[in-house]
Amino acid sequence: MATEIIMPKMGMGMEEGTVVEWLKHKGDPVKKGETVVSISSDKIEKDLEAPADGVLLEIEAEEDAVVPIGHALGYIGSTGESINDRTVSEPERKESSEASLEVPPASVSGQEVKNSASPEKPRLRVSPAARKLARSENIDLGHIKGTGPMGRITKADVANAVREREQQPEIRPVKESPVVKNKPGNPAGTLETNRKISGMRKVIAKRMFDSLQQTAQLTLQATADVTDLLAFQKKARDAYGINDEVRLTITDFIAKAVINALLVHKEMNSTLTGDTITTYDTVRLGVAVALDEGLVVPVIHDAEKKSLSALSREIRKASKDARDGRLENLQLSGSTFSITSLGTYGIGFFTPVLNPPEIGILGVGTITEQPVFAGDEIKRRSFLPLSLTFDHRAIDGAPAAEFLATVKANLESPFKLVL
Amino acid sequence: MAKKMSFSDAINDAIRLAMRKDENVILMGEDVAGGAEVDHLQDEGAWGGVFGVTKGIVEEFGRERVIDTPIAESGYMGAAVSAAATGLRPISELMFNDFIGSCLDEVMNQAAKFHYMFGGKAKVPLTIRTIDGAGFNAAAQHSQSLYALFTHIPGLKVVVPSNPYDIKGLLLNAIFDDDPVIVFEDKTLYSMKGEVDEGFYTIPFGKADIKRRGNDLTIVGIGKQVHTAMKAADQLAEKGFEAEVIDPRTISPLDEESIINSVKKTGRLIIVDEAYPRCSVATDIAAIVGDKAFDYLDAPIKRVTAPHSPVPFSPPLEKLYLPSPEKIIQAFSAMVGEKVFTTV
Repeated sequence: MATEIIMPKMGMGMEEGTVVEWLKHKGDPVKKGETVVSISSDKIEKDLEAPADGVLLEIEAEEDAVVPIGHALGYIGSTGESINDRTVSEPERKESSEASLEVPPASVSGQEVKNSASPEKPRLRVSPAARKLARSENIDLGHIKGTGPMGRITKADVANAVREREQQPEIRPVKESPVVKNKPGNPAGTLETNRKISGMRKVIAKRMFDSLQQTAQLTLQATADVTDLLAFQKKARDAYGINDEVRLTITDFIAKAVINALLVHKEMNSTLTGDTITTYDTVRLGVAVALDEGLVVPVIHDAEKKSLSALSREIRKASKDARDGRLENLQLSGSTFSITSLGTYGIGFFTPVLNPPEIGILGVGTITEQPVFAGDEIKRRSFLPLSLTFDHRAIDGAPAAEFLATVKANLESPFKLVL
Repeated sequence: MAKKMSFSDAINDAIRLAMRKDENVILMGEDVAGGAEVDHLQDEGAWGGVFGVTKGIVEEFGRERVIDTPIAESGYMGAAVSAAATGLRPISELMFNDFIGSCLDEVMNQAAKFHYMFGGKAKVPLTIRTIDGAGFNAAAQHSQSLYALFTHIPGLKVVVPSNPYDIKGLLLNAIFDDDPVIVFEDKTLYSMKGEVDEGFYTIPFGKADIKRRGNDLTIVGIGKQVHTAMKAADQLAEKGFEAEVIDPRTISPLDEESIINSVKKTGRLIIVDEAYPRCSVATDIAAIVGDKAFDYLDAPIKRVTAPHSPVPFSPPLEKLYLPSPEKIIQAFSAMVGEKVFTTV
């Protein structure tokens, strides 16, 4: 009796999922617990394990097929076994099984190309001291530019990255893992990269495109003087201490400033679906986290009820879960407002794209120091660029500007954030 | 009370203090008294060693205790080992460390082994003073620095001082130590002057002297190369880098802890040693730090040493052969990837 591999339910709202990639081919032996196929919902991507030992008898849903939850993706059984409920007569199915036979050679050659390309990736040079510090601070060395001889990453480089992370809202760059193909027609030595959009990328592509196509979004910009906030954050962190759960980063203070502003300007804490604007009493804050393969926006529920340290703990845990691939632990929908940051990349203002049905998203840039006049004196102050994208269908420029001004005011009077 | 004294006077002072303190202390070697058995020279101080370091000692203590020996290292070194094993505290001068080949068995296989082979019952309180170092235009057979050879042998203690104060305290410690100790005197340091405490004092073995504090780089200098390291550190300071300079003073036993603690702080290490580079004190320290402080290293360990070649006689070549502040700064540049240090 063959065992079905079924499309699982991976979230409350999930009704169907997409087959991203079969990791086994028809006829391949599989062991129980071995990864056979990866699938995605509109939120997350997941590898499915074989439910039993045997061979992959049949692939029922080809790559890119959209399958309702609970339906079979394929079957595992013993060699020669037939699948009871399968109707061979359907021509469509026959086609698909023929197509699956063609998969192995293509995939094998793809594998070879990948292998031949891999030695071109330069070896990361890291000093032992830098490696040790990166390990203890949980810094990804792949994202650090080494300043030592031959680009070696030194302890100072890692220390800088730690300092930046503590000063800037937390985010990781999106790293793609392209399949590199060397086309015979290309001039010698040039490489071309082709990647099929699938899984999380596909979801992001659709949502971002829909967002820009179906909303009336525009972006307001303001600069907050965060000199006092930086000093306050440092003191608060020293007083609270740093541990694995709570670090009291600038991100946490920004989140708090946004939450407090949303409570004052409730109209910004809304969603727009069809022709209905829904305004909420509680804040469900989305915090964008970049992953290697894309981006997720974990949601902090009841954010307005949380103290700064509780908020810090939740944001830290959510981004860690997201980065470690424990997406099943996360709430990934239902946010009423989002924050996104490019602070670690030296970006100032930018135009964040709305995450519908939300009507607002705040983009956080890089803090820079600038001289300013205080009376006749020139003083050194730190400034944080804020970019608020809002949906003009739901809210007008003036109230949106007032909301942004409140965020700015909150950041400039940091003690208010903990009152 | 401290007073200005040359390196060689500090040695002379230490020997006299030891001989006054303990009548078992004797001095022997080629020409250490000057004119042995030559009637018309009996009442004169004569030469007092090839560099005159022991001049005048024979007048104070007489020929019973200050003994000129034949030019036969194997013979007198054997006699010194035996004298030490039977109750005296001989100071035996090996005129140049390059001559060790003629008496290595007495040192390596007898003096260094007795204590171990007789279950701890035998002791050999022998002090060998010997001259090392290049930079004196004395060619390949009189310019080597062979302390690594002795460091390799368990049972021997090896002292490589860099200044008058240290040589006096370390030599006195060596003379009253119950193990065989070999003290290296760099011939180019003999005229160096420095503050030396009057009277008797000792400096314990295995205790490094941190000559200069810094957070950016650790430089370990061996013997006179401590001074090269200090010059380099001064030049680096002008560029904004603070080097910590360590003088281990004794290389067996070696103060590993001071070196490792410093590297833990600075993350970078250069060892400056004018001896040959292979199987040397520099490689030994590099290996110890690589082993015990790996996670603290922020750059490869660099050794600034002589090339693997005999010391050249040509003075310009000999100058190039030795470590220099410029070579240390070049090594540091390579470690940090700074190209601003083009000093030569």
